[in-house]
Amino acid sequence: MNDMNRAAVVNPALKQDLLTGFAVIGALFAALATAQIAGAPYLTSLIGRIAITSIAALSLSFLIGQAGLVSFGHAAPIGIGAYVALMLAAGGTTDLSIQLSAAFILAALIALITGPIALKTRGVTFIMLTLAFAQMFFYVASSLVSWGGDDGMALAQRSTLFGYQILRTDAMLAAFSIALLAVILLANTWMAHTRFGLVLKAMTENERRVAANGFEVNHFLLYAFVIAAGVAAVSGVLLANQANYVSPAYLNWHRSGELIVIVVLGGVGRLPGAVLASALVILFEEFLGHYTEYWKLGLGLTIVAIVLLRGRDLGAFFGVRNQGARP
Amino acid sequence: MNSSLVLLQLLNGLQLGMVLFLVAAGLTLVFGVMDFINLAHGVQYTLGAYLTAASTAYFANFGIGLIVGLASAAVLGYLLELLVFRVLTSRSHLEQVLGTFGVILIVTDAMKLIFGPAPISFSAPEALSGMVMLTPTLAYPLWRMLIILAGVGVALLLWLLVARTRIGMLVRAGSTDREIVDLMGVNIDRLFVLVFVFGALLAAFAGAMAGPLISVEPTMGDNIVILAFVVIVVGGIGSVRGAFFAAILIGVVDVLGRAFATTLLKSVIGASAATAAGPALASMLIYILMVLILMARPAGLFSASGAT
Amino acid sequence: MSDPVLELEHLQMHFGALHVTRDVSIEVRPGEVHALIGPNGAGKTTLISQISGQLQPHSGSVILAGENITQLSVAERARRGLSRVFQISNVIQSYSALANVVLAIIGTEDGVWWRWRPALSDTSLADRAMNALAQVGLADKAQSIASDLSYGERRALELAITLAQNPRLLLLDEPMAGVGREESGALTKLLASLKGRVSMLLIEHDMNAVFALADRLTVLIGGAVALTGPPAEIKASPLVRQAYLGEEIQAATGGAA
Ligand SMILES: Nc1ncnc2c1ncn2[C@@H]1O[C@H](COP(=O)(O)OP(=O)(O)OP(=O)(O)O)[C@@H](O)[C@H]1O
Ligand SMILES: [Mg+2]
Repeated sequence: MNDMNRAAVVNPALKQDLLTGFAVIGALFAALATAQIAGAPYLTSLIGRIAITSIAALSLSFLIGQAGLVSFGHAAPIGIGAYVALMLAAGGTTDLSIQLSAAFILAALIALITGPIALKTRGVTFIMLTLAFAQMFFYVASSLVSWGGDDGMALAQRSTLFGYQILRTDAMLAAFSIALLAVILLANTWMAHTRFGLVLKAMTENERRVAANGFEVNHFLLYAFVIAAGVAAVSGVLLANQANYVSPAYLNWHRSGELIVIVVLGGVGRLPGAVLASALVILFEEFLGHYTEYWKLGLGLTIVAIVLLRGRDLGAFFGVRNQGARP
Repeated sequence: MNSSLVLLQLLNGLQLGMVLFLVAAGLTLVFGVMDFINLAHGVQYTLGAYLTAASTAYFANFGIGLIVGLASAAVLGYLLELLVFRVLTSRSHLEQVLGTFGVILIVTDAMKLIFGPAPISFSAPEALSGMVMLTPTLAYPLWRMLIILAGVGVALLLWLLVARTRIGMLVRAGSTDREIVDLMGVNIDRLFVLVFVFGALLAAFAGAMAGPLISVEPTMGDNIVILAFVVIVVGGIGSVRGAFFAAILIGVVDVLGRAFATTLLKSVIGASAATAAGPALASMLIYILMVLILMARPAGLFSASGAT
Repeated sequence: MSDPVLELEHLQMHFGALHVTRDVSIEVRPGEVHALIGPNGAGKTTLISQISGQLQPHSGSVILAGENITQLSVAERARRGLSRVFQISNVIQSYSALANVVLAIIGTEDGVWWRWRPALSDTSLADRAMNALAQVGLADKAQSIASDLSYGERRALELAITLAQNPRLLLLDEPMAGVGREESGALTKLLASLKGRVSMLLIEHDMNAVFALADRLTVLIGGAVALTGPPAEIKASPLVRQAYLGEEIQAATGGAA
């Protein structure tokens, strides 16, 4: 077969999606640089948090928007990643190449076990099954007495990469997180346009047609579920470094719920929207939380207002289009 | 462990089950009839507890306090329906999750703002806080007994309403086939308001009754609503009967697990390991149960098509 | 005689107490258009679903080109060359006509897991998809979103989707239903042009179309095969006339506008 494409590989739709992605990443780097120049360490750590949350939100946005699977247990792989970092660091294995791959693989393997069970169902039952599995891991984490039990434990030391202390300062951590986010965001954006992306997206609309076309629907969904879990675990490793602490709270269902909220707020199917929404929620918490301990009241009112003003999710607001091959 | 201890824990499980049922009943009806996911249903439970506690303190009378508390919780529920939920029913499930999550944030912080973040005191009326003798040697708290009776009473009432009245017929029809109800020329919005406010009232009642047994704090609705979702999915979405039996199942398994898991584990894996793993396992039990049940019956024990 | 493309052997199926498929044995020969007719509720769609795999028969077997596929999934059957046009139009509404067909072609290949180039920039895919669209007369609608197409166009699109997969056997469940007179004429012509190249199992209530296309017919009544034979034999059968065809034959031969 002639695999050489005469036509441009990057079609206009993909180009536009990639440019939006670059713009968002560029903005984060610019913000980080500004914070560094202005000497605002607090802002620096905030940007790091935004990037890390964005990775988690992105993996869930992929699952919800491109595979149509609403997981209410996404905190579990994040927590698993964090515990992998905690345990490996305590054992002296601080290298990110090992930590990140171990976290990814462990979370993916677990998703490979829980996924087929949850995927026997759809809709609310799927939501509740993913919640159930996440709750199990929450309680497992709470029972890890030698790792701090309910209270959790401080990270022995920050991760390194090939011997370099690449996460030594908050600025370095933020830069590394943004770089990782960039890779994941752009890869995901590209993926949405491949054959795989085209099939996955079609499944969210009409599983019957896609199956009749010769695709094993549940294999595709499981694959998406497993990948999303792996990527979430990557964010967990970074989260552990960022907080210098790991506790079962990372696996709390509230976290899963907040992540869904971020994804929907950013606009389902709009990957850069997930980054914008992560930024909004974190900034809201930090700046409103600065003035009043009742900042959640403000966030709640904002969320309700956004939902009631139909379709005005953040992605739409900023003109981010739905990702994927333009049908 | 002796048999009377097991019996007491079984009753405690039943009592928890009844609280869960009162919360889940409204949730499953609203979901079944309107296809509306209301994460904020737990808010009604919180409101029921707070408002009853506050008005009981104000009137210095539990009876009046309960009536005023529930009435005001129902009015607030109606307002929420009017202002937010009505718009959300026509939206996607995800938007519903987002919007109702927002409502949780608002109400939780409002409670914190008004009543303070710490638990408030709320105790059962003096006359009802004694014990009843189940057998000459076995005593059980009267208040918990009342909750069990109230739960069974509400279940019977709901069964009568759903099985015997026109509204109940519409609710049953609506939970299996929305168009039929539309075709019959029924104003589905009005039906929804009715079902919603009734469900809100039941959840508020659950909060008011459970209040004296637990700590009344702003986030008390969060965990109960998750358990209520477990109940309605296990019972079969839209099925009140399913919610009833699933609530009892979940309540009993949860309480027995917490009471006996560690002891039982000790004989298997040794004392120190059991002390660590026991509580975790106990908390996990209902989720394990849910996974097993849904693996066997993905639509739940009593799926709404066919039975209510 | 060459081996049949499809053989159904003693298929049985129930929905609860309702016996929808009663000991059905049918074969479709290579290149043949085999029509399946019968009154509403006779169990035609249910039978097709057992062939394409959405439903499992309770007993009996489905054999495609000599291979027993009874236990295979919908997707596995599709990859072995079973392509279905559903009774109720079934396309990806939010995709363009072209993307719908591209999707179908991807289903016949195995590059979906590792090909990393954007699917819609792949000219060889696009060429093949355009080819299928042209066959059904939708070439100029390639970029239209499926939900913007007329119902008849969507039926044609579904046909293009199945054609693009080079099926061994085309399962057509009332392709003309709900389609305008003109479009249905065009569709009949299209199917006639495919005759001999693609084997088809065709369910259709439009008797004009059935008798114009079919090489053989099977009459299904109450879930059971009442009769199988060439059109002339079916037309002549008193049983069939009485049980089912009466009106339609009159309509078809009696010249009702
Ligand atoms: N999922 C189902 N559950 C229960 N009964 C079903 C189901 N699907 C179909 N039936 C019943 O099986 C019988 C056969 O239905 P089927 O759709 O196969 O008929 P058909 O011959 O295709 O009719 P039509 O010409 O109207 O399309 C009907 O009585 C129908 O009501
Ligand atoms: Mg049919």
